Amino acid sequence: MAAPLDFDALYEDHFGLVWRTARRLGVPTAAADDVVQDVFLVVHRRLGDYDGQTPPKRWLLGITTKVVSDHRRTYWRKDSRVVPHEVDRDGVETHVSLRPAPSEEAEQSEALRLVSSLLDEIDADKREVLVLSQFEEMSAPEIAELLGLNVNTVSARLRAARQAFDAAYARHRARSAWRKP
Amino acid sequence: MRDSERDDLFARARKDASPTDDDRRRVRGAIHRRLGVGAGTAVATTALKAAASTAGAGTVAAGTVATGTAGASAASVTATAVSLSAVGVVKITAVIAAIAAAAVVASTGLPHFMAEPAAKKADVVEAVRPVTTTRPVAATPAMTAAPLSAPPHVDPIPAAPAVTNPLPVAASPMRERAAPGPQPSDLPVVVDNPAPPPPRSGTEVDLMADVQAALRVGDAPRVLALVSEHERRFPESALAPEREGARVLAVCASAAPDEARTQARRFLSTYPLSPLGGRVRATCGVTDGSR
Repeated sequence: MAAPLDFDALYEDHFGLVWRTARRLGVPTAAADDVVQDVFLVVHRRLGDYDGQTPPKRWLLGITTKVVSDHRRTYWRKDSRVVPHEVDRDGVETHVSLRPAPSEEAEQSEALRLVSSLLDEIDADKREVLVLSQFEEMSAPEIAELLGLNVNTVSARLRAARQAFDAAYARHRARSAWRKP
Repeated sequence: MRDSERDDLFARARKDASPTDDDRRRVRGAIHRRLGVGAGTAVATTALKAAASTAGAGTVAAGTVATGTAGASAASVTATAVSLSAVGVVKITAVIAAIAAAAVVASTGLPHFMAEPAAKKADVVEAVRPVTTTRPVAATPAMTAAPLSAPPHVDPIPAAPAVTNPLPVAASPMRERAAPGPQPSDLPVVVDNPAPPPPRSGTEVDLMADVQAALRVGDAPRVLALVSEHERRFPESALAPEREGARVLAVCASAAPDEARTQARRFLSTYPLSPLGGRVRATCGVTDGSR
């Protein structure tokens, strides 16, 4: 049984994770403040529900994903490009299309926009490990621990994820080339 | 796609998605305000209250106990909110030491953030006064031992957006964020808010500052005198909880233990959500009460 979580420590340790995750999921800079605040307010409210088993990082990721999803439903519902994604009981993304609205997309940086859209094209399982590896710079053993998976499973999934990402990138290049004169 | 290309693309995306230190500070300040507002009494003069709370609340005991139990109790909410405000803790260290009883707590029961490097404290100090004064606050470790260089009344506006802004509090960070040009810490108050600020009596603030100063040096009789004066001149003040908290702390430092505990309990039941609750409990040796 893990020790109870300390709110301040959670904030200090995982603020970056939460912010990056929100941004990756398409939250524009201007809305990141609100979303991240909401995440931590939910965290604060639910500290008592924390089961002591889930790694705090995973718990936070679940809450973040959920909050982003709620924000999209609430504030960006009218945007036809926004498909509310599904979140399972633990708040893990199961189906995602959090593609930013065009106006947000313009504001988002090119690299982030591209990566986000390419990630959208790959399976949730693969996306999850790829994001943790490339975005959060976690090692395979760390990811394995976080997700409760075998290290070999993580490594295999990472390889597959990279291939899928590369394939998505190749498609993107092909589309871009086609569009350009 | 080569590994290096992919890594490079992700690295750029990561950089774009990453928050700045300023983001971290600003959001922390906003969360602090929202937690404070959510937990505290919905009084329009939150700014003043926040000033007093910042200066005097956030007790060691509250920070540790409340975040530890992690319950949904209001007391916990308040205390945790305050524990975000390390500046309160920084300041209070001197106060507690001066006041007496809790000196032991201060030296033994430090929550983790008390042990953080000075940089982090400075960080928090910045966060707590995002839209306040231009007067510099000496956010050095020396603050924990030496008398404060910045009296509490110089940074009274942290919750100002919530005060004068008729919109939900949730909207204020966006407004801050969206404001071009100066950073929040440079803003005089709420420049984009047309609503007039709530009436603020400098005199009252001065008086409360004197109360804090007297508390700081452990001058209980003076605290009691000033508190009585405050009560006489500002009977309906929104700072009444702070005033009563100061009174109880002074009583606890000077009166017989039984009397002190009685007063402390009365305070805790009257103001169950006060950020001063933890401090009152620690100083007056009350373990029950509203929690």
